[in-house]
Amino acid sequence: MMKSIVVALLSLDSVYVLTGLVLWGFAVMTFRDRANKRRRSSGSFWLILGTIFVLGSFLPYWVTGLLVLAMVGIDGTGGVSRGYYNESSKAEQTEHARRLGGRIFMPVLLIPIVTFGFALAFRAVSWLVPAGYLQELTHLDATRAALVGLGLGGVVAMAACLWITKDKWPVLMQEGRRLNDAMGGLTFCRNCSLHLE
Amino acid sequence: MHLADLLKLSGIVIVIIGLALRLRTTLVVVTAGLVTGIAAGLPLFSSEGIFQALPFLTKPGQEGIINMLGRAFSENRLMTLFIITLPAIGLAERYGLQEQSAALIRRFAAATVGRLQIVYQLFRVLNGILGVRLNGHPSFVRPLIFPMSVGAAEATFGASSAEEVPEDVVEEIKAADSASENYGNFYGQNLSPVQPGILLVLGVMTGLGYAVSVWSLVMFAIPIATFSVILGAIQFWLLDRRYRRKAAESR
Repeated sequence: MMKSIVVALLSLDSVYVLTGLVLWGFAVMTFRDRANKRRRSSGSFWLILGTIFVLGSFLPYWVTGLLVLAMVGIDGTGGVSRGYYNESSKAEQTEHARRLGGRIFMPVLLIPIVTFGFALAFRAVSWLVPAGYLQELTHLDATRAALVGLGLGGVVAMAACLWITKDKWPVLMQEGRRLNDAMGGLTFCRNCSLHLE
Repeated sequence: MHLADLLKLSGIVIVIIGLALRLRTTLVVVTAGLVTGIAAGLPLFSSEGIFQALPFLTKPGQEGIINMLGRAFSENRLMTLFIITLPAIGLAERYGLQEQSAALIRRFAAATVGRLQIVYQLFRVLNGILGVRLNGHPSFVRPLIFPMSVGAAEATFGASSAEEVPEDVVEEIKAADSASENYGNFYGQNLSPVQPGILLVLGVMTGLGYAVSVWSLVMFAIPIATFSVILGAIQFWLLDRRYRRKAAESR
């Protein structure tokens, strides 16, 4: 029982679900963002993407396919736009930088460290146990293990960032949405590419 | 050539026209995919579940275009997984991450935009040799390498803050950062025998009847990776030279 919970938590699916929840958070904030001229269509876009992340492994492929077409429609008609993020001024950033100093690197460095660490740990363990055992248990290979590491790294970095800055989690999400919207619909171009394998 | 065969090529026309009209890339590509699929006689949906035996929309034993799209998107979710790192990076930026990165790089008088790219590309090649994949764009380039590069540009252009660096230079720095990441990652990953790229080549070559081993493939990847490092270094050295001239002109 304990083992299966740990395996489930360390699976690619759990990382997808976490990412989807973050996207749902962005969607709710976008729906409420009156500075965004296309807030309903923008919010729907992130809501759908979040849904594909959370439920993608369980939905029939044709449902996901139709959801993707809906996203293509929204993005293709310019429905994904930017809003207001209560951004900090340059002076505030400089002031914070002086106060926090090099400590601000810690959460950001945790992302590659956790990614790297998880991938290395996965490789080390798979050498120690009988060949194929770990793959069978976790359904992960070295590449996927690094992706799970990236997901965990993102979560660990969020916690560390909140701890260091003493700021609140809505600000954390707002800042995430700022970066996400800066990329906008471009984000999912990469998803539409079909791999030739 | 039959008309039906020509119709299958209509996707290429759609891509050319759509991109020429500057429509959204995703819209153009997906439309082209749908049209090509329909022209080739593929069904829209797989013949299963509620679509079973629906005429026109399905064909027995063939995967539908919509199903294919859903499957590919679902399997490719890993490409967009970096979204989960955005909140932490965003909050760190609010609290001065870019200032600190720029301040750090300004302490090294020898640091320039180009030299930073060369060092980063070598670092990524080294990662490749160690067989570790890092998702460099979200975990290194955006939060660390990009602000460091802007910090180095500040020194070159004698600017006192990131705002004073010319905007076109900042855009070029983004491209240069992504280039060094891509060169290092793409060529570096073939230097380790356990990476998917090498395993793919091994699979194809053995399938074609060639006797190759992963180590022989890695051996042949070494000169290619070396060239990529040399060419990258030349490109980034030229970038530095151009910035030095540009800075001299503007003074």
